[in-house]
Amino acid sequence: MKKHVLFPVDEMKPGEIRGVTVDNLDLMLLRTPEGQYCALLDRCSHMAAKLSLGTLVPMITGDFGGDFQLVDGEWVVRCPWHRYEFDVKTGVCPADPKHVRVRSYEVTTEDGQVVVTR
Amino acid sequence: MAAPQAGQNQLLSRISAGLFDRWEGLRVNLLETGVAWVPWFMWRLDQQYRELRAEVPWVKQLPSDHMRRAVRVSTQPMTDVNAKNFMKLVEMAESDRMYLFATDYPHYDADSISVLNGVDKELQDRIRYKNALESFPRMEKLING
Repeated sequence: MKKHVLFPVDEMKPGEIRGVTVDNLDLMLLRTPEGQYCALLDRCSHMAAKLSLGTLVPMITGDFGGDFQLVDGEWVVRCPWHRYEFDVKTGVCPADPKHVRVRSYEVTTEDGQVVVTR
Repeated sequence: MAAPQAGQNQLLSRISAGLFDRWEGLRVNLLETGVAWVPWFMWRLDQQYRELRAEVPWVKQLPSDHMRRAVRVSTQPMTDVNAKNFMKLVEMAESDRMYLFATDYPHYDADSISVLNGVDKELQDRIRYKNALESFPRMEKLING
């Protein structure tokens, strides 16, 4: 495991997604509206679309038919091709958590810099 | 030709409305809708759910898991599905609990009681009566007193 310094913390705005290459690996890096950085492998586990071209949306849940609730502070990235969702922190697909996920990477901020560990 | 489509529509409606999530004890038996569509329908529904979960966030499990747990399908009409292919269907559905033996007697197009001949004995027992006893728990008492 190695730490990779990317750029200053203020470089990305909350809600922004972008693709970055770290040590020859394509990652989807995003900043949640609350300001937290998250990194997933930039390749949907379904058909390998770039998640960095996807959309950051709130996690939606519901208790009964017609009930749509947005979960506070939980975000998913939605694949641009077939709308698969992945939890931005864990990479788990909420529709099929046992079988579908993408790898997640630790992102920290150190000395004002965004740092990815892989 | 409409019977399988009707069964699929009713299942799709019940699953996507969240009935199996809301009432965990709910069981649905489909009669006379055929057998071969079941694995395909499970695959297709799972695929759609993975893509469109946010449209039905009250559905908490893969549709195929709901079906294995709560849906049973009668074997009649077996049409031209032979024993070898029927066993493949069971394998593809990843459950030996989903099919219930039925003939539709006394209709003119009833299945013969021999339609399961050639199917593995253990699976035959499952389909011929064990699954039915599990689906209708009071039946065993009625039969055995």
